Amino acid sequence: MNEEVKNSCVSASDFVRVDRGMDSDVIARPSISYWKDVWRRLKTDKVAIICMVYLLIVIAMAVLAPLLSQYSYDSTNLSHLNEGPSAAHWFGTDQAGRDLWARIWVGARISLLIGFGGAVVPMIVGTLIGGISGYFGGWVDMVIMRIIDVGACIPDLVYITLIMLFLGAGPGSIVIAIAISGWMGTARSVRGRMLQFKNREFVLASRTLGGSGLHQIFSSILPNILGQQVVSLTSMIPAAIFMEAYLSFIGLGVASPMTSWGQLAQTGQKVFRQYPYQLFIPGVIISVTILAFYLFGNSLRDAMDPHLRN
Amino acid sequence: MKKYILQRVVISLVTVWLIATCSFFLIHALPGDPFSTERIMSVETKEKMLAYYGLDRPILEQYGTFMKNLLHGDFGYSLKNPGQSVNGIIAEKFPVSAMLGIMSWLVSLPLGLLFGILAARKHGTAVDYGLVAFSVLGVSVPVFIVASLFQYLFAIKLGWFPVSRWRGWSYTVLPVLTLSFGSIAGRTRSMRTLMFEVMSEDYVKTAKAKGLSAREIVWRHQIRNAIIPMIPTMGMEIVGILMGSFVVENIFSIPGIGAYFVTSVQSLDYSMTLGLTVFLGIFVVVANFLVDLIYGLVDPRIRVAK
Repeated sequence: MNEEVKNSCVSASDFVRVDRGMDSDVIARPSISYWKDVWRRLKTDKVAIICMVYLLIVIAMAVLAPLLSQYSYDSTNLSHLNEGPSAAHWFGTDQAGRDLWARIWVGARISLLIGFGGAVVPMIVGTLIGGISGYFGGWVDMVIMRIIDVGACIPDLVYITLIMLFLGAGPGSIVIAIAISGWMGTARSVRGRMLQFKNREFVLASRTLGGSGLHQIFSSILPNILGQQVVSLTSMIPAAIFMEAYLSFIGLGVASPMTSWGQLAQTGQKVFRQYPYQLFIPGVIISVTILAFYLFGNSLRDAMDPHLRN
Repeated sequence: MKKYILQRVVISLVTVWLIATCSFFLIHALPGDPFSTERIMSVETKEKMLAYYGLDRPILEQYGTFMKNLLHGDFGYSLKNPGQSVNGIIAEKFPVSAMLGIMSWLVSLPLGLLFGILAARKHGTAVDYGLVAFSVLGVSVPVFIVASLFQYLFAIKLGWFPVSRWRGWSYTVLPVLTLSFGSIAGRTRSMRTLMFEVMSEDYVKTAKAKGLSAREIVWRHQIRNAIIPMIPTMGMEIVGILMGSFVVENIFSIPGIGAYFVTSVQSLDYSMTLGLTVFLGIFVVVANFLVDLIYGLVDPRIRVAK
């Protein structure tokens, strides 16, 4: 061993002593927060970037296109019925002579609002109830879980039909209907995570320091399960858009002259043998948007937790 | 196991009661009455009609009658289809919907599992990518788009199958394909993931260490274990197929229960809506109950955990 050291061509003078001065505590690189780290991984994922750009374009179009278009979504023009796409009407006109370009993007506003509302509202309600149930346990937990056991057995369709009947057709009632049937899944998963976390050291520390119950839930536990919630949010948005399209299609959704993607597809379906573009344009936009949300959600999940990647 | 079954029976009964009660009161709280949408009717006729159907009685009395009849399995008479009982309509129309649903299920189950297993076995090849693309597309395209597309392509352009109606085997092909499309895609995706998850389990490693052939590992260990978590999703699947059938029945003009459900909801036909909601509710609850029971029977670990 010593022989080797002696025979090697590295001498003691090749080593420079690190200065043990004041700045040994300086951190060489800026610290990276969890979300920055997620973004850094997400940026390298081509599919995620394409989906994100597409979704941003759709959102921008939903906001801007109806403002910029020379046609209004509900003004009829009886001399231009069922015209195919042209320079004047980019997506053609429907059976009342309304411009489909304007209608698609007004419909996008409604469909996207329902998508976000139908994901965020049940998420918040479910997180709150699941959090309380998991954190406090005991009879509160028992009652909430029994309610969910029964509630989850009732088919969504029943809830939704009854609520749509009761509140009348419209975007607001669709969101409420989706929320009433959707919060239970979130509540269950949040409760599970809550049980996992509530006896971990950092929560115990918070309790020892005198943090109240709600303080522990909101500042110690929720930040830890936020990632998972964001991921499930990205799958709840397309599910809500899907549901809106379905409801409008069977005539329980948004009523004319207001419009949504589902409603456009429904009116298009009635005449699609003569005018296929009236069904396929909204159809393709709905499908691609749902696809983009799903793919983006998958990439986001991978970026947040690289262990899950398969 | 007995305790578990008992618990599930109680929950199912409470659920059915809740569905019936909520539906009853919500429907009666709606603005307007079933005859206000019809062509102008004199006040006396309307009162006579309401009295005839017992709709002028106090609501609690109506509820009592409704629950009593429900216990006897009697949903009453339709208000909008004179002379027809709700039971009669269900007995006539539901078999068509049920057949459509069962056929789609029989098509989607083996195909979905097969595609999932195939994708996992051929991991990283063109077959895998193709199946993954199909499964992602399949869950993103709404069922009415698939239905219209199939109808346009295979019935109108190519003329292979009839465009609509329900008169024989050739009429069932397109609706069944449409309805199973989404389930096949969903199943392919989850089966593929489950196959990967199982691959890293200890028992698969043990099987490899014992020197079993790849084929034996896949058939005897991987597939058997990967299928188990698919069972509880079957309840959801049944609901999905049921909801899809409403659209498919509409597009292919199939005389099933879906069309009645939608029209009765829109025309405030109290007894029809109530009857169909409760009937479909009971159907789904029973299906979920059976699925859970099968799950418990197939996987002993579930029983222990409960």
